[in-house]
Amino acid sequence: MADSDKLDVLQGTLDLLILRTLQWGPEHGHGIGQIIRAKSDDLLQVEHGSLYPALHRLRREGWIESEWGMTENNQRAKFYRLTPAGKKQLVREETRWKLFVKTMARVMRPQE
Amino acid sequence: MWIQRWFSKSSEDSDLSEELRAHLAMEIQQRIAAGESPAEAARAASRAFGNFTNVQEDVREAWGWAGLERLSTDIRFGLRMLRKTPVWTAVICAMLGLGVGLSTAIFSLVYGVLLQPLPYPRADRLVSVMPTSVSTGYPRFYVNAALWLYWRKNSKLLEDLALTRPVANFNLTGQGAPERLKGARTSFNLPAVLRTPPLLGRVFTREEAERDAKVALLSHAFWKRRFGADRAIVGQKIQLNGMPFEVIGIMPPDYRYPADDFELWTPLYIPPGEIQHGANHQYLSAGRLKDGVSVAQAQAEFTVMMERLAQEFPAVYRSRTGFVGALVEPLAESDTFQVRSTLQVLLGAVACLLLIGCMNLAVLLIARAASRTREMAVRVALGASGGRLRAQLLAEVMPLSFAGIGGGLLLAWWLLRAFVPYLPASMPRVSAIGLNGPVVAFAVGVSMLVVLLASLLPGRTMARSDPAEALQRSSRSVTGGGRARNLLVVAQVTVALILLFGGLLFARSFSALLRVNPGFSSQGVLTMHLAVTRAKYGKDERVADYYRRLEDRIKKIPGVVAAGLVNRLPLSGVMQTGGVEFEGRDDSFDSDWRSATPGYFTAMAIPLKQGRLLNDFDQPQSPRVGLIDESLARRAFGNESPIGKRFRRYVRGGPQEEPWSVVVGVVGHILNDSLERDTRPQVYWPETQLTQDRAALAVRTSGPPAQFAPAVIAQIRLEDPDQPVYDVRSMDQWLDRTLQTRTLLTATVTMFGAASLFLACLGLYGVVSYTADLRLREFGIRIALGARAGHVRSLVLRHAGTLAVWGCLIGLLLSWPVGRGLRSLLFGVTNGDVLSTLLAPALLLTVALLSGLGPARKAAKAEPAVTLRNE
Repeated sequence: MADSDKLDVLQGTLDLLILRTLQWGPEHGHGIGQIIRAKSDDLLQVEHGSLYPALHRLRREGWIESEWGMTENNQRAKFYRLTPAGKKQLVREETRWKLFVKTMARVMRPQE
Repeated sequence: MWIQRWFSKSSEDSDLSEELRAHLAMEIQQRIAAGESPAEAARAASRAFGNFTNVQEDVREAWGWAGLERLSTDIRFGLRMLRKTPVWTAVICAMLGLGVGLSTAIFSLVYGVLLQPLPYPRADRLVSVMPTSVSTGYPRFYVNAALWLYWRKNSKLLEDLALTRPVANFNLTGQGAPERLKGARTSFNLPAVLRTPPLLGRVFTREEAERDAKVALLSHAFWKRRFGADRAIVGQKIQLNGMPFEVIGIMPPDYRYPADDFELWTPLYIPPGEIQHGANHQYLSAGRLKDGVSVAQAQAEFTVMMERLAQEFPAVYRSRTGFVGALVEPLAESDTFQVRSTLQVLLGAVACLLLIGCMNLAVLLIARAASRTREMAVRVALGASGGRLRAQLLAEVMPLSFAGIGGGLLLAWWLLRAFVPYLPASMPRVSAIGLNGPVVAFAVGVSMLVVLLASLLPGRTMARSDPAEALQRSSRSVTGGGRARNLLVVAQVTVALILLFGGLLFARSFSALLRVNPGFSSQGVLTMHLAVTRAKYGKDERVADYYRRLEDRIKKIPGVVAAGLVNRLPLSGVMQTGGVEFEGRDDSFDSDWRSATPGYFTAMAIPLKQGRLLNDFDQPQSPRVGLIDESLARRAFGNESPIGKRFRRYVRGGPQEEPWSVVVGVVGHILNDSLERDTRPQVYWPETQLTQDRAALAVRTSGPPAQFAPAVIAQIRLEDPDQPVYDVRSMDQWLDRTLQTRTLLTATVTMFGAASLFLACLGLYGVVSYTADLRLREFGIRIALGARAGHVRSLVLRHAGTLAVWGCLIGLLLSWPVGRGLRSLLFGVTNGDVLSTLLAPALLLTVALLSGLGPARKAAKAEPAVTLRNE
């Protein structure tokens, strides 16, 4: 099923991606998926079966909140917004992610 | 919280599907915008979206709904498991039902007597005030009119204070059989203090109390019983003590001051001569605190008042060691001090029993969990979390707690119905005992808690188990949870030992009490009370003559050996006490004041020690005489003979104008208040010279006393057809009544001790035999290698013995402080009682080893060939 030119979202990084996406403002589920796809040059595809459970999980944690609203096309949709707690969480996750990337890179770097 | 979420579930569900539909619509729009045809776009979008329901379910899992849905699956699964092991289930249900039933019954007792608020508006504001003088041996005594007037005038923190003369006898005559009514004379403000208006009619006025008006308020129960709840009775006259009283009102059913069985109230008239500090202590008080005032604040105010009184009347209120104080306590507590500690001990004992039952359940659950280790390991391997396993285990045992609630409530209901009539007479508010809301809530709570606690430990053990290890493991090694099981058994033995120790202490106290000689012989003595209608007889001489004629008549009944009258019967719960002084000495002796007829001493078999008894020649005109008992004789005169000395009643600080009486004899000392405390000596005057209106008749018979009651009553009626008698009992019954509280305590704690012994040994047996079963293979090998059967037996017995010894050691350590706490309830033994200290562990160890015997024998019979092949 996975195309060779597509990447699977790494376990545990979807939350970070969603929080990061919402940093620019409220967005609905479909929009979040689109933005992640666009920002990753179509490399990252978020499955709906992962996106919605993740959204609801984040909401339970109190990191995002939701509200019904209208899209530019006059379509009723549920918009998600970052809460202050969510912003703090984003900072934490980002720091961890950077550390992770740095560590991975150091390990993977070819021996000089 | 869970429930709230459950209810909002459906709305969140539809919210979710709308959200997903909106997403799909956007997807389609986007595709159309990109140039696809609508039909194609819809198809592609749906395909891209995947399974709608799947997504929904995944989201729901994140919500935690699934938890609830899983719970019902777990419970269904649990019920199936329980059905598969009917014996196990039955044992646990029986144990839970028993534990919950017993504790609920005891709790309903405690709740009804101690915790339930009084049935009056703002009952938490009601207090009782009593004088107290701990240093002279009276921690609480009755109020007198002088104190009441002083308090009422000076207290700023009480709204009002009412005064009640607790027992006033009213002989009801006229309509139907003569009847003695238990009434109370109350100050006019009592209904206002209790904030209870009458059901019908009106209450007393101040003016009625001041002129001693002949008006009466009837209790609801009496009104229903005697007058069939006839409303027309209000305004009519009834004959009380030979005088017409107008019924002015009927009180509601909840108005039951000072106790449940009071039938009518009349205004309290205080003759001016009675108002005297230091004398006539015969009243109870009930007051209402002002809003915002605490009991402690009122207590402080009354202490200050009493200090002032002690300065003003040092002769009355000051003693060598201090001064007479005032005790302010909540009204609901003022009549429970006698039974409070008993009830607390019962509650503690039942809590111990419940704890043992709970640990027993835990042991059984652990054993059951251990037998399912593989199943659980498979679940863990397949990804079940520890919480999930715990939840499942809990769901499996939750149905047990429902069985516990159902069975327990039934048992409690039966226990209450069967045993409430046997509760001690001193226990107040017995009618309030029952299965009411708080009691049922208690049963539910206790049952849930026990099951929850019992399932916590096995749940933890299971969640910790490492699947790989458990799956590899065969029955060759002893399965996990062994230490937890052993600890639980040791704890059970510990608690059982404490209960047994307490039970033994109480049983020893009881047997010590049975050996107490009250100073009289109760066997074969019939007693009854009569209150004389003063209006009919008038002067003292006529009352005394009436008593003499009664005594003469009763003595002539065939089978009656002796008969006599006294104003207060020993051990009947009522007393008349006061000081006695001897001529030429300035000390006084606190004594029981008694007026008796000559036949009384023979009837009660009170021995004469010196001089003579009272006789028929002691008449109002003859020289005044009296008897003192041997303990007073010894205390006042030592070895000197008291015969011929003169004595009289002594009132502290009051004028002394009573004539002297000559001591003509010394009689044996008796226990008047209770068998447990020897409080005061006795003095006796002839009824002819100190006549009292209330009399108790003691008749010594040659057969069973109850058989003589009709003949005795018939003779009384022949003398006076309007004379009611009450409290017709044998003297043995009075004796039993004084033992009631102790009987209840001893029987219950001993029973709980025995039950705990049984339960603890059941737990011990379970663990020992289970462990022995697991080691059966090991035993087989040992036997194959040449071990003797006796050696294998001792291995198992040693296991049982070790557990029991540890439990006993810890139990003995803990029973020391427990015994100290019980000290005030013990009689004739101390908390360091050697016999109980030895007997309790000996009993436990014996039964423990006996219960280890079965498994030991089985282990010794292990056939190596069979057990080794059994893999």
